[in-house]
Amino acid sequence: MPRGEIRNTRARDSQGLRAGIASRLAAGVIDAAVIFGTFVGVLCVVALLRFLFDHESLHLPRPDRLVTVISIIVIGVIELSTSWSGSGRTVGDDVVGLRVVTANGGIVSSGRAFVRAVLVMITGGLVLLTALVSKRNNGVHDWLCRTAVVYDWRPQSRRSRPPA
Amino acid sequence: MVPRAQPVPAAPPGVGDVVRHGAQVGFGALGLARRAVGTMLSRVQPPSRPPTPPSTLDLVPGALAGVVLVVERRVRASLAVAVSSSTDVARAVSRPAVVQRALRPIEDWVWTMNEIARREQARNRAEASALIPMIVQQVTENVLAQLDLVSIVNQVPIEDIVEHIDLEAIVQRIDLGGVIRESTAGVGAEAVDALRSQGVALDAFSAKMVDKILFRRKPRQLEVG
Repeated sequence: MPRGEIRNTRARDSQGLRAGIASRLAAGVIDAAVIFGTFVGVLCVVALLRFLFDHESLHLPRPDRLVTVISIIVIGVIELSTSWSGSGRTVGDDVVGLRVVTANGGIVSSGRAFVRAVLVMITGGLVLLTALVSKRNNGVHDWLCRTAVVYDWRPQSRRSRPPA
Repeated sequence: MVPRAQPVPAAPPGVGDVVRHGAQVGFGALGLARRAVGTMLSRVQPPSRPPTPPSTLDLVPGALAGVVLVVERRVRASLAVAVSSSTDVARAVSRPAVVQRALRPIEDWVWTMNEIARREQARNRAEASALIPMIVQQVTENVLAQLDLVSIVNQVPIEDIVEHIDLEAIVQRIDLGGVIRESTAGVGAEAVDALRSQGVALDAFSAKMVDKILFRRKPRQLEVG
């Protein structure tokens, strides 16, 4: 990710403020692609294990729709919750330059990150759209979990780094 | 009490010290010159000639130098004794108050002259310090004006120098991969920042549109905490 001074004045002044819907949707799309890619990777591993141990032909398994949905939700919850409770940034957040923090600007706890991830995955990410009408750019999941998504292009900057 | 001028902070070396140092340096220079001449002459002599012990005549210059050194040392010691004795006598004579009062104008005159000399010398040193760079610059400019740089450059064998340059070794020393990597990373960072800036602008635009539709007049509260 880029380092150094941010040249765009508006973007520089926005660092540490709540992000809008466009950036959050862009990060969400990237996260969705990462989650789907992980799901496909899991399927590939399952296919390889079946090929090795069950002597089946090497082909990608096609699970039921319910199994697929549950698998994707589980993978998404694990991926999102660990990212938000750790660095506060998923892959999509890292690309777009966002960070998930608490309403006070602190680090999100594991439990809060898990509940937030479950809300996002169960609603299929549509809960993000509620941030469009919020006066604070908060989605319903942000309001319930008391979290916020802020611009953080330079993670090492003191202003944007949440207190430990 | 008669006001007395302030003494000089650092006493300049006395005449005796200057003479003594001058003599020592002079003798040292003579010794160096004699050794240099001897070395030069020994190179001129055939190497097959066997070394011969010095004759009495060869020892005469060294003996003369030794005599001069001994005389100088004796004279200096005698002068030191004489100066010390004179100082004691002068101190004893000038001890009475009447003599001190009589000598005070002379002493003050000496201090005043010394102060004048000190100030003049300081001014002379300052002028010399300012003048020397100007002289050096003027001399340098005159020398450069006399030089025919074109003919000098024409005499430089540039083609021979270029032939001896190993361009392949120079290119191998340059980390072209690192240079390309750095420049690529810089371009990539600029592109990412540009896309992010578009996202920030789109965020502001969408929020503004929604706020207009919802008849909101106050700006959004985007601060955290």
